[in-house]
Amino acid sequence: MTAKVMTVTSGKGGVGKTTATANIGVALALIGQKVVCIDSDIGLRNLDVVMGLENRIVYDLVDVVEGRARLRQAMIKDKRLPELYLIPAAQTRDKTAISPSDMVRICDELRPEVDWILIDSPAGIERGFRNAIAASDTAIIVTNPEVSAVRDADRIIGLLEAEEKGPGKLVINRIKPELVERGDMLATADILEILAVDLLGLIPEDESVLISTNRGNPAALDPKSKAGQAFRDIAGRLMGEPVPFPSLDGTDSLRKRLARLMRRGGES
Amino acid sequence: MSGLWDRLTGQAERSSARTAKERLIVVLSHDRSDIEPGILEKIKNDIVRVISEHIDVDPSTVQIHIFSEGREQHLKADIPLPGPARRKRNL
Repeated sequence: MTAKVMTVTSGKGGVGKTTATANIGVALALIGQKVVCIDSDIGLRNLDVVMGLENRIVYDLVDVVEGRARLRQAMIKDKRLPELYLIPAAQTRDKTAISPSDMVRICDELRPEVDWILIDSPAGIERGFRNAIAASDTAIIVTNPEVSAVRDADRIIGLLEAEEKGPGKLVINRIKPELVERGDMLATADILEILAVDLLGLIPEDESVLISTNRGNPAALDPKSKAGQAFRDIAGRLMGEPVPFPSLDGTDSLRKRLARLMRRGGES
Repeated sequence: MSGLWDRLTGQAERSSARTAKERLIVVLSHDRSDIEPGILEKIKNDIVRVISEHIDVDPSTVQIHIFSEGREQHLKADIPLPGPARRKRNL
């Protein structure tokens, strides 16, 4: 095996990087891929709680870097899926506890063992971001349909290009089709036109994400979750399958649009 | 009836998403090029000065702005030329 190393990043905080990392990791593991998720947000670790593995941490990433643990010892095995692992961040240290070359060394050691290494990046564009992208082959940029998140995504795409990490692929999270439909949320096409980057996934706003995160069971494990399905679609695309993108613009068909307009026309 | 037509063509009112898109395009053109709007004004004045040595141009009609093609940034100057009557006769 030679793993593909992907960094999940966004620039702006709170857009769903950690949720995306956990769910894409789960979705890949569901189709039999061997996956290691690494939380590189030293001092603000969260991937452990989102994946529901917080009670099983013994060693963390900094323990590996500083030689207190072997890589294997820091890999927490997910009990729900046979081939999913988490390497948690240290909670009591800061970004300077690891360096970009540490990340390269750790990923090089993991590469022959697994299919995918997903690195959850901290917000921002400083040291933590540099650590997160140092070892990556490519990046997944997570954004929301909001001006601040799209602006920061653009900055990140520029930085990735400057680091020759490629333009990356975009995941648009928390889309509300009804808001797009009435013209109060940026549509997928608008965001793609502005950022000029390839699309990897469209995630609808879905309360099942909050509920599943509350329980520590990523939504990708829930067959009924719409967001979970969107993450499973992403895993399929990462495997090279031509999974079509559902329209989350609320304007699937002209007939539907006309029907709605006539209805509204009647009201006024 | 025009209200229905506007709705059909999606132009009922200026939607907030449309405003968001237009604002993003402007702000990103500056973010990407790392050029502050004030610098553009200086470049414009310099261009007008150089061209005015040869051709009589109206500074108020000169426009300079950044636009994107994909992720590539271009600096575009639009300098309307005066009609023949206003051209300087250097011969």
